[in-house]
Amino acid sequence: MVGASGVLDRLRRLDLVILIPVGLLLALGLLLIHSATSEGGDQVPRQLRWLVIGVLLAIPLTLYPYTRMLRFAPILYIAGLASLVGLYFFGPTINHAKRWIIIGGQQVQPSELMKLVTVLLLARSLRFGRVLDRTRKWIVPLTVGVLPAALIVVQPDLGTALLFAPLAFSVVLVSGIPLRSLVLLAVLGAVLVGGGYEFVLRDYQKERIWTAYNYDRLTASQRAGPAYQLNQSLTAISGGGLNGYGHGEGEFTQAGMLPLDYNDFIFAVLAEEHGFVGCVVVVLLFCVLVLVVFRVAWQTRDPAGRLICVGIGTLIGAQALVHMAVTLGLAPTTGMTLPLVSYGGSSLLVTIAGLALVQNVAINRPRTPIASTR
Amino acid sequence: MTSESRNPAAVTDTRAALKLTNALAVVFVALICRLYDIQVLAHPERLAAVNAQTHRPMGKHPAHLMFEQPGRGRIFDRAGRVLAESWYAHDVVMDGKELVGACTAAARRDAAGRVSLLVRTALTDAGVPCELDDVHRRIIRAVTTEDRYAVLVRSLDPDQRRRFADRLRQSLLPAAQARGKPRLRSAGLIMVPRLRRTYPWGGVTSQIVGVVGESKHDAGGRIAGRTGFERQANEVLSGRPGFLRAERDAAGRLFTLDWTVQQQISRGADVKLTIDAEIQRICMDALSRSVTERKAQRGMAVVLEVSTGEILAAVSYPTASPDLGEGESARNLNAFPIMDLYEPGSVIKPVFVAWGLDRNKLDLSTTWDCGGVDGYHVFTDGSRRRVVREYRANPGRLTTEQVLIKSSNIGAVQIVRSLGLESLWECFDAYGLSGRINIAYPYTEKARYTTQRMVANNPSYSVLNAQGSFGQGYEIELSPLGLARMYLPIAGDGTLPEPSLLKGAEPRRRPVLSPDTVRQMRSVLTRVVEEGTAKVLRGMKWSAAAKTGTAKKTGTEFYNAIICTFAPASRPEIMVTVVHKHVTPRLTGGPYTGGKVSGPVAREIVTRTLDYLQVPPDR
Repeated sequence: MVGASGVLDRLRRLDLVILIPVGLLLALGLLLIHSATSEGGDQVPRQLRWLVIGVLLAIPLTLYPYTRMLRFAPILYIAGLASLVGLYFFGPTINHAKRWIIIGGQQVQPSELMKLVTVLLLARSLRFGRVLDRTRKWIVPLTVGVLPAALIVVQPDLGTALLFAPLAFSVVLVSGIPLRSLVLLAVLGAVLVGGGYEFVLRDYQKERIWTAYNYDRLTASQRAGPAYQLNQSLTAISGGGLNGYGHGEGEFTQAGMLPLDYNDFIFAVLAEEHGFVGCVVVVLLFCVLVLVVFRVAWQTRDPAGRLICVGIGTLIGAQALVHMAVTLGLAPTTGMTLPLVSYGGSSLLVTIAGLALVQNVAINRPRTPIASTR
Repeated sequence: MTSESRNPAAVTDTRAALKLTNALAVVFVALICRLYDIQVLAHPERLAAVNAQTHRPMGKHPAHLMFEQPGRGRIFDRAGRVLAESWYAHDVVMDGKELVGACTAAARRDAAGRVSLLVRTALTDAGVPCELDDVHRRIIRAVTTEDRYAVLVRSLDPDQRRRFADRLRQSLLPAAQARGKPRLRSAGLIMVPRLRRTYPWGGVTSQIVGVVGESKHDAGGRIAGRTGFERQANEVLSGRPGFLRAERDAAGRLFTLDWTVQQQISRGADVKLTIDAEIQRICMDALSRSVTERKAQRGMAVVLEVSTGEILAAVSYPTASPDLGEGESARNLNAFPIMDLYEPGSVIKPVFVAWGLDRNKLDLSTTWDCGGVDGYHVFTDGSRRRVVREYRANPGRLTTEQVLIKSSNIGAVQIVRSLGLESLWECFDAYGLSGRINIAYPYTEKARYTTQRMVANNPSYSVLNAQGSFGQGYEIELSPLGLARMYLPIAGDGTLPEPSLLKGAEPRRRPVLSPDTVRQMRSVLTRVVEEGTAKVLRGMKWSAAAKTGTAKKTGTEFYNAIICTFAPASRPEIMVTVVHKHVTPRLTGGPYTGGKVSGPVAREIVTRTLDYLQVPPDR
């Protein structure tokens, strides 16, 4: 362990640039949650409680060397898989899904934690830079990525499961993979997606996919039925116009017309109240956040640290993209929070923990950035 | 020791990192484009969807109903008389649930009995006759069945409504009064406003003014113009309904009970017509007697102001009152003088002659062989023949002037043939016969005549047009308004004003005849009155110029009797056209010609109208 002076020295080496978009997004999230939930019980205090817990959790995750953490990655991974299997058999059914376990009266989503653990295990398994030019070398990363995704699909939570695809892809890409193998992997992924659509997806999930890409052809009854959530989201967003109605003044969302507006559709609240301008600002904030995380990745000399940063940056970016795409009707409706902004304890904790790992990598990076060695 | 030292080369692929960053940037840009599309470009059209869900439109409260029905604009005649106006009538409606709430069946019947007595007494005092049993039966139904609301009496006028409400409040609800201002609502009574339309001049102006109607299928269930000017100017007259709204949540519950005005109610605009209700009445009086006496199917009269072309009257008899009394046909609400076409008979001859004079193709002193054999003359064109008959045989040659005075058909055919079909079409174009008459009326019919295209397709028309020369044989058909309009250049200054029904519209004019032609034609038509077929117009305080016409319907025993006249001949003020449709001499044994049937009606209209307009006599 490090002493007090060591702690101070490490804290001085924190990447403060990351904290700017993170702080802005957290503040905006609290404002939007307040706006979306002020009528039926303000959820800001609960979100603040989760934020405090997250910050407390971030301290050890930032200070404890991540290289040591990687030793525990397989154990954590197996524990995570076990929790997902246990959830399938023993988990409570909430909203027709088995996604949550109740701890101390709080709902916790193991699949959220599993994303972080998967990043760690992928970083550990690919840290030696084995070039993935043979099929047998894929087995480890492929298994690490596909197993939790498969267990999450059956919860069912398709949105979260699909996040494992860009996560694994980006880590594998950065760890070094020949183009031929990349193409083969893409084909394999397409086959998996096609087979999954045909044999795994339920009818309502297929209907959601169909309605998302045929919105203009939907009848009134379809818009009031299977495409209700999408229709309400698009109505709220387009109502905002260029500048929006103003904070807390969104006519549509304030009237409770958009279900789940405080978490899975919080971007629609932002769009209605702050308009196109506010949305662009948030999109740019996420861009900046992902880029500064990637910057840490490029600045570190340690491949494991680099892969951790790439994995976490991809996770945050992909999750934000999917959330926005769902609210904008570019992707099928699925329950996906907007990192740092949406209400939700598990999501917030995992995002903060991931960013703490990035800071951990940042602390351990060389003081002067290195150039590419390739 | 870091892991990099084991294999430093493999995990430093910055090109891969760059690709990853670029891909991310592309997706974020795509998101921003999508946002711009639905938030900025599609924003206006999607706002309606937002409003539809977040706001609740007006309820069924009487105040809301009143707000939803803007007063319709009034229609005035040229002298400022009201031809149509709106007011709010009130239906008295019983709200059974409000009256009894939740109580036993016996208590409900008891309450119904007491209130029906109160209502019946108040209605009787307000001068509204009603049966106690009837009121009682309706209230019983409202309080005992699922039909919560029952209409007790319809359309109380404002005075009746005030008296009814006062009577109920003052004497019949003492307990409620003791608590403050009693509300009819506490007795379960609601006054539901309904917009009503009144037409003070009834059937005299109904054909022009038109009527309104209520329909669930258009105008949002509100009253809208159905015929005549009410239909034509519906948008202007209707005004704009007010719109109240209140914010609501997803379950439809109101956030607050305050209804805010989203759109202020705005009454319809008033409109002034060119017609004069008094002249309409004069025409209707004269026509009604004549049509009844002559047993004609219909009589029509059009009165135009010569100087402006404005329509002073356009009536047809039989007519119908706007609310269609017993035995009245809705068909008679049509303005036939504007909508229907008739063969003009000899009335068309002066139009052709004036055109020939104006184009220097004719002279009033030119003579034509009008003798024929016993009044018959055979016209040929190659192998085709056409027999033309005179109403009364002429001795021999007649000048152009005499052709008009004696209304010679043989002479008219020769005149038209000398002019040629091309010249005739020029004439029709100059008078604008190929288009509709542009007056503010929903239905106007284009004149029908033998066109160039028809002749090109069927050369026999050039011979058949012999009958068109004197306005028979379906070769030319005009509405009475169209006919009167063709005389305006002769009666006026040689220009053709566009007739108008809307007061204040500046009429467009186009020159048709030269002043010299106008002078000659007036002189000829004055002689028609003095010496010719329109002698019935002699002896008035004002000189008149006229031309009569009689058109036999081919293959029938029906005649259309027509006269066109303007007076005073020296300085014309009004132009009058009278048409009797389907006069049947076999039934009446009386006259059937324009001069004898329509002439007396025209004389009465001219005399009474010029008197009414206080035009000084020119004799």
